[in-house]
Amino acid sequence: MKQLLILVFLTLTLFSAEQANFYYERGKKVSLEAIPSVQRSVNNINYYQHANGSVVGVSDKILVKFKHFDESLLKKYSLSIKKQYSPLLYLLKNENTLSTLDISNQLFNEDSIEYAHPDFIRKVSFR
Amino acid sequence: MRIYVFLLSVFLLIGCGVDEDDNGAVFDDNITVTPSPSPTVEPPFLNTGDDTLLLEQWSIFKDEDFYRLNGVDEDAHIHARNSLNTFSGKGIKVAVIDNGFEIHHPELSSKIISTYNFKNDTKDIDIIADKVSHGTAVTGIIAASANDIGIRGIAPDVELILLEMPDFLTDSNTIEMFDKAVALGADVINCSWGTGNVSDAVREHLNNLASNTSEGGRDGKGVLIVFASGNDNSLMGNDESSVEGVFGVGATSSENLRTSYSDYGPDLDIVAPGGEFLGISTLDLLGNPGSSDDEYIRYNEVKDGQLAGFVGTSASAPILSGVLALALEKNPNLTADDLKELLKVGVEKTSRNIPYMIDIELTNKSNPIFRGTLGTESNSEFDLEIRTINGSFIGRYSISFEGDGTWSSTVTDNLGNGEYKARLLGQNITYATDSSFIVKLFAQDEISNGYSRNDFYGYGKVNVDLLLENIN
Repeated sequence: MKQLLILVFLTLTLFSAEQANFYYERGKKVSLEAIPSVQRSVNNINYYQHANGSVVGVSDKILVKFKHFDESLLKKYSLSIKKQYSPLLYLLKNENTLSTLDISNQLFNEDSIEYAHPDFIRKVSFR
Repeated sequence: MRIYVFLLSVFLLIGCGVDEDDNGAVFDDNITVTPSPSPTVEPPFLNTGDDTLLLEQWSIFKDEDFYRLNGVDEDAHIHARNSLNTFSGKGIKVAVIDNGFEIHHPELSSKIISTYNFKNDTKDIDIIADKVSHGTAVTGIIAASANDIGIRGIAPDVELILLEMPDFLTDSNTIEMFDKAVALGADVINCSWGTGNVSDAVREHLNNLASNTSEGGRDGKGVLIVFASGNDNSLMGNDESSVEGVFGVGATSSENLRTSYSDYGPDLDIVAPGGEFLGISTLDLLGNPGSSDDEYIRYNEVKDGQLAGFVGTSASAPILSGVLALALEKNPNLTADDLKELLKVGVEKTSRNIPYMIDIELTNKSNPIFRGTLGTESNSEFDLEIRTINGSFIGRYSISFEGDGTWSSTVTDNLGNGEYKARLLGQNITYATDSSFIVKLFAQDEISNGYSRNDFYGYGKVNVDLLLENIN
């Protein structure tokens, strides 16, 4: 019973941990404001609002540009390769329990990564 | 597309205190106004094709009667007289990434060489059921046939690659769309859309495709990517149109002014006609499901009682895309960087005073108020312009007054019969809220948001003949 309580506690702690509300763009942090969960879709996409008011969705996909490809990072962050767009630009899938924003930000700080950010979902404005 | 419908839509400068002389000048007790001078006469234009709606294509063609009757500035067009008689975009492939393509349109169908639909990953882009005409209107400006019907595109002999896009995109979708366009052989890619936020991956990918490197499109010469700057009258910011390797295009009106809606900023490369009072005549869906009741959207289109003309930077971008196709026809080896430099030379110089346009907003029809902002200018000259609701030119008059940069005016008298009298910073004007007239003010000088005129206008408005003359 005690072990079960500890497990429940750890689980709750894990999921209640504050998730990152920013990502890196041109090497600088860009803040995002999470849109309340009641407005989120049911297909594991979280929505955020930029300072300029535009809304973006974040799924489990991450775009990563390597300085030099480092396969060990895939295992370290539980990532799988979905597509490759250029020799060093990859679309990766986040298989981790941490949020896509968190994983993207941790990847950004790896020495072998040039940039990393979620594969944002955006609304198109026809002009 | 921006269907620009003014909120105030109905004003009339008639009645008490206002008289008109034999020359059309308007006077009242406080304002002395002078009609603009008549435009100069130019010789006939194109010697190829005889499109029935060509005379109303003010953005590329100056018809003396149309210009005079509609008050179009004599330099509002793109100065393409010589170029359009010599070049037609032959041998150049233009990709249009958009939605709502009428692939059966007789002005387009014969030149479509490839299609792809990113909504369902098929080659089927037949959209008759969608009733969306944006992509058709954009493509018509580039490529409508030079023949004896309808309108003429800037580059009527290009080959078209039409790519139907969804309303929501992931960054990886965007990368794949551009890769597809390049793989299908695009020399020019037109994008009359944007998202307002560009990621590192998309920015780098667009720059790579546009670069004169092994990663560039067009066998390493770089594909030419054109984006509309947007219609929010705001700084372009981190938008696709701001990406370094992209041609970002803003909009001018038939008055040859920056339109009131066109987004601006230091990353704007060039401006081209996008329309305001007068729209850009172009193609529509066949039949009546689109913006008009037939297969054309006219410069003064009205549908279901609403202005329905094609207006916006969505119209400006394909004008530049067509022009770039002409340039590549003359010299296919030009790179994107080459053309950006050539455009700096080949533009209409902005020494001409292009005013910052000011709207008059009718905030409450039952209690009308004139309201506007003049940027940072405090003492300004204005042009007061009057048009019918359908855009027909009535007159433009110079007025002047001093102010603190913002102004408003409330009704001072209800004259009955729908006419009201108001004071505009000390000057009496009279208007009627139920009449079919639009009144607009144009500041004759502009500084706003800390950006200079050159920042607003990039290099200036495209001048096709000058551009092509400078290409060897």
